[in-house]
Amino acid sequence: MKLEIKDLHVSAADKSILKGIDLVVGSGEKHVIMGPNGSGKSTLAKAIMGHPKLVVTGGDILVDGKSIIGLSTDKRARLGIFLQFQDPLEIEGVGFISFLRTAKESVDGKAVVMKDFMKDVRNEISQLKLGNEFIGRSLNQGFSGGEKKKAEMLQLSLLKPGIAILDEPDSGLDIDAIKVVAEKINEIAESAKPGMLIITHHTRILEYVKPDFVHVMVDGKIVANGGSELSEKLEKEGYNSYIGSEGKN
Amino acid sequence: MLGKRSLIPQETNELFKKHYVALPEEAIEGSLEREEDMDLDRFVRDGLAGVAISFDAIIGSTEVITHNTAITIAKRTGDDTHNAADDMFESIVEEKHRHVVEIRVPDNAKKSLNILFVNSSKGLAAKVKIIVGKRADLSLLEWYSSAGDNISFAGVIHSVEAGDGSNVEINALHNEGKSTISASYFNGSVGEKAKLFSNGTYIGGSHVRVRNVFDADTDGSSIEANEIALGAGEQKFDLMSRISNIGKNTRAVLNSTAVMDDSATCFLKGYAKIYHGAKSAFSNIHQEGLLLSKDSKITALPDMSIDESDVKATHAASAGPLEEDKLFYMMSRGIKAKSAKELITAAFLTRVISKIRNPIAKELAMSMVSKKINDGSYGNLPEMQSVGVWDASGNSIVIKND
Repeated sequence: MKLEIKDLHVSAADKSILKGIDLVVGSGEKHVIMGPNGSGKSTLAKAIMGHPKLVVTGGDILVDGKSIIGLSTDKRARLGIFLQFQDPLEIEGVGFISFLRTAKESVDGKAVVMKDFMKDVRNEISQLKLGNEFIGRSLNQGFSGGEKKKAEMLQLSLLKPGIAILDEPDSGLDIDAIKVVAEKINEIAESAKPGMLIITHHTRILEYVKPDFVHVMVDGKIVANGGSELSEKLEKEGYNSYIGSEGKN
Repeated sequence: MLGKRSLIPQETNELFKKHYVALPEEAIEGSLEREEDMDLDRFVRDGLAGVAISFDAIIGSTEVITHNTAITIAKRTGDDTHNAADDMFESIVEEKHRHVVEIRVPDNAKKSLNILFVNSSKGLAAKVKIIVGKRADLSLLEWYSSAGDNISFAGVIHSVEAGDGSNVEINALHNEGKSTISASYFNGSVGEKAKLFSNGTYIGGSHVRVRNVFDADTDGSSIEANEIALGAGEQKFDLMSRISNIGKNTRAVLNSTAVMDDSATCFLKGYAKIYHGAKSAFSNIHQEGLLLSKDSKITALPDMSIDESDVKATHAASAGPLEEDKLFYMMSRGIKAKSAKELITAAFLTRVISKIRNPIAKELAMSMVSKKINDGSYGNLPEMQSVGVWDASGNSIVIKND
């Protein structure tokens, strides 16, 4: 699956946030977007997923050559796009397993075999070092920050998307949890080979997940592109040299 | 055991008086005067043939069938009336009721009973007296249904006396038809260290009026009342419950939850009274509403009156629209908007339904709520279409299919 973003302009509440993004994510590629707070990284993730409060004012988003701008969020998901939320909402009363099952059946377009499905869920729970009590809990309710991230990883692993957008999979995690999440990202990248777009502020997770491409976003624009050496440079120098440069590209 | 306190007029609060659903009085009285158009025997033979639940009693507009000696039916005698306070429609039930259904559970006995109420085009007015002996257990399931297309009234007055140390659970599942105007009244008092647990699920009827009084009369007694309303179309709900702490170390809890769609409206009126002398009492009112459309309306009105200082008393009320970000999150997993909305709505109500202890009542409540959420239909007879065991998290599917 190939994701192409062409000169994308996006506004929220009449405020321009994305000001011309160009990006191509191919199958099996790992792209990392870094940038300071407020640069528009999460808006890009939500715009790709079709958040109702974001308005595409220009440009296009294509999957395998076809525009998805007119598609609802659920259709984009069924097409194979997955967004890992930075801070997923708690929905009391919606059982985590019921939700997972409904999501899996929606994406796959067929009923799951419950016995096999639960075996997969338990396997993921074990790998992500979550307790079995997860099975009986409401969706994200009462989950710690780390548990929420891991629950998102569990969904990513089960839903097997063609394009995975990970919005700060490392934020709020301790070192051990970062390793667990990074291992899961690597395992999924290796086995299912989705195109991955990873949004992060920090380079810590990149010690474990090696990107193919690194992009720097400042004020709604991608101002620099490179390989993993770019993230190393950012680690040493920060974003200061890019701030104010967005108008020069 | 019903004392004077149970008969105090309920709507003393100015806000409660101001916010109410007016019931069409003429249509109500007209339906009670109408000729009977239902043959209860035939209804049981044909209508209940495929229903996978056995009823111990079936209360029709004019006829009654019982299958359990714990339930006796008496004709109205005239001396079984009590002061119906200032509620006009309760007075109508008092004046027009044909039968008094009496349920007696002897001391130390344990009973589980199912009762079906069905109003025809002729209105139904009935009284139910429940007397539970000391240390006895009663789990009661009541299903309210309708037969007939004319505008009709279904009014039932309950009085419950829970003996010392008893456990009483009453589950009223209101699934009346679209032409039914429903009014239910409940006066409950509990003996020492007794527990009264009431669950009212209201999804049917054109107009629904509920006036409940729950008194934790004696030391160590406990009452918990849960109300659920799920409305759509032009349905109107007016739910008012009063909980009182009278004895020492008593517990009184009221949870009211409403979901309204289309142009449906709902008033949630909860009044908690803690009497002087009710030391170490605990009282809580929780009201919560979810609006699924811009024209739907929920008005939550909690009120408390506390005449004792050594108590714990809290209340909370909120009502708001479906959160757009919750929908976005669920849709980002491929779930269609309609299904996501249904899941969130069901979850909102499941939190309360999961408190029902009677497993059949719980399944039937979830089943009728699911049906209304999924296809908008109500007014049906009970269907056991649920998918297994529900837990507090709404995870029903694991056990059945594993």
